[in-house]
Amino acid sequence: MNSERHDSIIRKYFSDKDKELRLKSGDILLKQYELNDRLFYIQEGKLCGFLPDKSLHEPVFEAEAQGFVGVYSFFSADSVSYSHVVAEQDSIIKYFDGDPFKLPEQDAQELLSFLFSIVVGELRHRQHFAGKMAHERQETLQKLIQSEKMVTLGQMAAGLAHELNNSIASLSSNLGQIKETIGRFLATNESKQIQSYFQSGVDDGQKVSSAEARDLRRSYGKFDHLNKKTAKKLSRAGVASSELEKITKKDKEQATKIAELWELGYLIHDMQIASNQAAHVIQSVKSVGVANQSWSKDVDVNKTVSEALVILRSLTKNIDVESECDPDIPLTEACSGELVQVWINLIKNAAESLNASSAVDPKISIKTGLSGKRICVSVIDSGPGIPQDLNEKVFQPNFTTKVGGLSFGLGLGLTIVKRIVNEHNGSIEVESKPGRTEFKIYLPVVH
Amino acid sequence: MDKVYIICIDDQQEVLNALEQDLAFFDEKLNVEVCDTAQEALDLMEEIDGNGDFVALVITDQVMPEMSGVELLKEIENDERYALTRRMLLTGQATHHDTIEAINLGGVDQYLAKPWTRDQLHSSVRKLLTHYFFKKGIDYQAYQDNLDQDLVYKYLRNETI
Repeated sequence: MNSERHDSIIRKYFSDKDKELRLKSGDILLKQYELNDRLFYIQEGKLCGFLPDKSLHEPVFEAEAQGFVGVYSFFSADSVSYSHVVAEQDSIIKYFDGDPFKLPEQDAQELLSFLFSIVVGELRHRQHFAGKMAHERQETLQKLIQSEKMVTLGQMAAGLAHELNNSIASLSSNLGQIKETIGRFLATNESKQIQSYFQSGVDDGQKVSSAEARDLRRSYGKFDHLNKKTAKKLSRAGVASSELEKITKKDKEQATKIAELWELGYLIHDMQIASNQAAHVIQSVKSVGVANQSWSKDVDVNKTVSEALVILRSLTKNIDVESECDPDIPLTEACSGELVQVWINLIKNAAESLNASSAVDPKISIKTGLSGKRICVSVIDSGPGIPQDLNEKVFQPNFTTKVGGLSFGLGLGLTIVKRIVNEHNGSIEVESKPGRTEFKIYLPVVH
Repeated sequence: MDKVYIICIDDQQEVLNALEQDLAFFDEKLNVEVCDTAQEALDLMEEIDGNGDFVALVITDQVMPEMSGVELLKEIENDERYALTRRMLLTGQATHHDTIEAINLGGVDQYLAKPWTRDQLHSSVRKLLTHYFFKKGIDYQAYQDNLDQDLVYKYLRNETI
């Protein structure tokens, strides 16, 4: 619009000091169905129109400075305002309440042609606004549907987790029972040496690679009485040729017995790991689906760290784990169960990276302390680190670097960590180079 | 008589061991060898071939670091020495794309989804071994119980292509 013409019209018809309204935010300019013979010009501020009779909470139009209000009622035959017009901000309004058709002809033409463009512009503007509102409503609806789905999924996951956890608990406890019974039986009937092969199977599983096992088996060449099955098992147990010689010297049958018992122990080992992993996967899924734990105002962060360490004891037994907790950090408002999840995921990742890379002197340290006004918890490992180009990706769902070995990970670990930290209004930092990877979690102190 | 090999490849030891246990029956007359990387398998095949022995069947996992199952099978397929070697792909989460690639490029003879059952595995292995024995022209008689009887008769009646 030609702004010079606009300004001159405003000066001429909308600058009468007596025809000025000052509205506070929330003041009503026009009630719905009120008669109106004024055309309002917004000099300053913002107004919105509502339709209370349709019980709609969103505005049907909004008009800001230099916009016009009352356009419909001013020009319509019945002069009734169809909407409820409320000041959204403190506003200064100028109005024109004459009859443009009664002005001198030149003025009438000038004003009417200007108003004509205003009316058309206003129509276009309101149509546009209605479209935008409809679009937003659609989006909100989509989000609602989405979150509804997530809730359903979460409930399903929780139910599923409960059922599966019961099965796993039974498998795992029976396994423990079997292990103990066999152990007791061996203790009374067999030598310390034979017991040790069973125990090594239970504790360590298969330690040698398939290639190493094949090499060992080839070195057994001279023991021609060994059958293939036994030789395979002994090689997987990592029994060296010299060791085998000692074993068979006393009793040829001894080798078969050792092979069978090692295998038995090793099967128990694998089943135990598999059941632990299943339990962890279920826990992860459950935690992604629902925030099922309660918040409390006096959470001791140090306590959540030590709980996590207890849960992970078996996973970290071959790692030097050191925790340095500052006893003076204040209590804060948090969800302790979820914080435990965070530490579990971070420590578990560190342990897995150390184990997978067979790092020398594997070490994890967990430190808590105050950093300014925030609580800082850092988890540091001496593993190979995260390659630079993956730094950004580690927080994405389904991202995993886990390869080989007993890893049933879902790739959800760090996604969960990030979600929980965000919920606590905390932040997370990663610093990684070979030999030292540090995850720092900052949590605000809230009372 | 231990001249014919079945080679299994999986990077997860517990899967590899389960596979080996389920194939123990075949290990009596044939040799079942397990490898935890594709490269190890290729080296082992080189050695077996160098000794004048036969690699009848390769069973590999799809998702492995460094070299995937399909890549391994592709390499085997392109090696003349293993032209008749049967190829089986084991997979827990194959996508449509992987499947197409496995068939078109890896020349997969058989697809087996994890978790498998022992019966499934045995019946597939028997069929593949039978094809190998007859195509390679190895005397099958001593290995009868490792083969698929119906397929053996078909070969004997010249009903197969």
